Amino acid sequence: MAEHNPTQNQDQAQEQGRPVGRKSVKRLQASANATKFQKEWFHSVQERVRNGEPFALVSTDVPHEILRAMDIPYIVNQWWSSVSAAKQVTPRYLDLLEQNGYRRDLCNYCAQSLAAAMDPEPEKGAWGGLPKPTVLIGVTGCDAQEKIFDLMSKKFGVPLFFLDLPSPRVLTHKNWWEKMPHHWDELIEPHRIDLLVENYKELIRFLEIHTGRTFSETKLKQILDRANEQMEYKRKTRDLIAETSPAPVGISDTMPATMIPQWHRGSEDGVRMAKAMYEEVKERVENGEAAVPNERVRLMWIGLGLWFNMGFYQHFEDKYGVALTWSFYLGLASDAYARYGGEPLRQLAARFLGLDDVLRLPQMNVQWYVHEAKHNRMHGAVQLISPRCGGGGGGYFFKKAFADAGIPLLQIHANNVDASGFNEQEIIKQLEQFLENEIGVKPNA
Amino acid sequence: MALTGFAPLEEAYSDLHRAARERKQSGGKVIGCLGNDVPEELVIAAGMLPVRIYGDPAGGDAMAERYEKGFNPQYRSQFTRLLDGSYPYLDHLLVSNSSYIFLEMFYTLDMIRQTEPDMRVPDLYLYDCMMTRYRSSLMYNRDRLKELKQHLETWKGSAIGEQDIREAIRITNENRRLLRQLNELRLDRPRITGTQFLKAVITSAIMDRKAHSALLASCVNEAAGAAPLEGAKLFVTGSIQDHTYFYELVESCGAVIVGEDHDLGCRNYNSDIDESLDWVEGISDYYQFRTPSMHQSTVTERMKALTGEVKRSGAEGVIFYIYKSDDPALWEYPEERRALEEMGVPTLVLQNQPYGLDEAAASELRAKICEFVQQRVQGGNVRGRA
Repeated sequence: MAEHNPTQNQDQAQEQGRPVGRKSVKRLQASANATKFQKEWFHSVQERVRNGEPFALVSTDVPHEILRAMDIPYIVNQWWSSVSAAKQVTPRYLDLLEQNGYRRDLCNYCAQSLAAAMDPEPEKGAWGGLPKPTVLIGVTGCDAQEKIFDLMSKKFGVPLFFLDLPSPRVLTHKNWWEKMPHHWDELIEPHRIDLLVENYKELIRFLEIHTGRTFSETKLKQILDRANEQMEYKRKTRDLIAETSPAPVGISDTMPATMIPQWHRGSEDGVRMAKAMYEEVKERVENGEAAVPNERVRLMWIGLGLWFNMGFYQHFEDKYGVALTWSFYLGLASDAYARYGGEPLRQLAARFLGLDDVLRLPQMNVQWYVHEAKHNRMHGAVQLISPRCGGGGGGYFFKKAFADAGIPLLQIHANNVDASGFNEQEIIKQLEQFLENEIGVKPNA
Repeated sequence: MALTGFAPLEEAYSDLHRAARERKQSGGKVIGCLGNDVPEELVIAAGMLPVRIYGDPAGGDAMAERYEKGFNPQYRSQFTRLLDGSYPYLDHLLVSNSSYIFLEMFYTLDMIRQTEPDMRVPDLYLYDCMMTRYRSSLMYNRDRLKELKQHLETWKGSAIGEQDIREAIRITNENRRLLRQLNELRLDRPRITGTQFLKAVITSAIMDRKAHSALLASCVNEAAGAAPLEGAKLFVTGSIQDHTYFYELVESCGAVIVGEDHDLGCRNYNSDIDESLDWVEGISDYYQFRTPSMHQSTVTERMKALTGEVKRSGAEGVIFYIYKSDDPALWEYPEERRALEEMGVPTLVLQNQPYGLDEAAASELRAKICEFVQQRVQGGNVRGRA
């Protein structure tokens, strides 16, 4: 399969007058290495699929650890959206969705793989295109995602498995991040874990039938241990960044350096990449190297990353000495994934239930964001609210909690995958006004 | 000739809160039900009145705006009603996990309750039902159903007897049976309008169910002898219709709505709870396996159900009426539309629609619907009824 040149997509987009994003400048070797590794790994997945191995396309909240324990290569649907956005393939995919009767503005973070399934020239996708999966695995939490996975199942002509997402009734877990790793059984209602464990057993049987692979409990235990080790490196990295001024790295580096290993969670590569990131950040701290040497303001980025425009953040570094040092990718890796003790499948269920609770429930996430803002000594925070996704609302409690904590918060509305609706000048203007009026920083002389 | 038997239902529809106020005045308890899968049988068995939370197309969405909810406009209206004093009589609010939207409402309301007591959010309970049709989901729901019963017992202050539950099941089954009978009078040669039928379904979820059944019985008797209505027979799918603006508009275009599969449509009456089963099995099976809602279902399941219902209703055309930001509906309609057109059933897709209809919006829509009815529907004015 010939790889399509992504710059061709950029050229086409420019010819058609569509906006394209900017690439970020990487300071962290670990980040560049992770990106390089990911591309090579992706090509190895394509090769394995060409050689007849099974391949799973899954939602982000599916327990990858099970697939790893069965040696089934997998790709995460939402990752495919972000890489498609970064490689400027999204406009092509949106055209395909539109040609098949679907709106361009629907669920962009989840629908790019469906577009790939419709693509008569799949090799034009990022890095040579998404291989055809053997199985699909989705989660029922989102009404739209359930339909997208079903449509993909029909388009690809492959079987689909859904995991349930039971929800909590007990909602007052103050400082949950202190308790969650070792005392998750006290925070997550046991009946929810029971259901997910049963789902996982059903999933394993489904995978055994449809891929011919076998499941190893021993391997799973090793994977869980390695995942915890990986997250420990993330936590130590986050803490180093939190405690150091000027910050050794910004989110243009930590987002890819966190998320790429996250897709390899529990593998030796995942641990190696997390460790390399930590050691490099530590070295930068020891050498006094900074992301923004004249750091005047530390900002946190709440919400999804602008994957098509990772260079966007650097404008503020140059103009205002703003160090965007915190994103929830590293924050969640540090506080929301590690789980110790218990039966392996229960531990795994606790990881995903707890993580999902943190992402969805204002009772859990608002207090954590404020805690992290203080821990990371933030002067302010920017929250990206993606239109439509999850209702596209939900900033009220953030605003209130940040106001109570005396930390200025700016909420911006933008699509994190589709560049076409991204009015960069307008958002830059909003952010500059926020910096100057709410935080009180002026442009560098 | 107007059907006088419908007058009490019309009255109940014109004041959706009357039955609840009367229950409160007589010392009873009223439980708000948010989400489309609250097992109302248990509420009735506890001696309380289950009242479905509806939006109000004329009431605005100030609270959704205040709390920055990005829901579709019908949910924004429902959310607003719960906070703007429209439901002052609720003793408690039961929320079913029928969609991530209802879950988000539950968590938001809980957060408001914790942090802003002046907003007077009623005491809340989440019935965490799984909607997939797997065995594990069903067994999970059975346990949650038993927990819900225990919780209702704390609200009631005493135990709920098995006989009380059996009687409640009998009452709700009777109500469904009568709704089915009334629905039959829309088919073939319609004797009632879709608007009248929608009012019957809407009021069935807010009134004392026995009293509602008595009204339905008299409507069925009278309508059975009524003269058939003229007009193209249409089916409505897409977003939930919890008021009659859109139905009235469609039926003013020379059409009769003979079926619908939104959350106030056929799934409310086209099957019963098996009274021969243990109550936990009967109730859980019913809610799990009835016609799927647009939420928490696949396109495949919905398409199969929709095409079946359209055939059964004898509809000559289908209108997809989809509110702004109702994303699940937008993912469904392209495949459903293709399937219907292949069956020879013409379709009209109206998307990005508002929840209420002002004069300008209504006039624009009316023109589109009239054109569809006249140009494309077999029973429309152009070709006429065979």
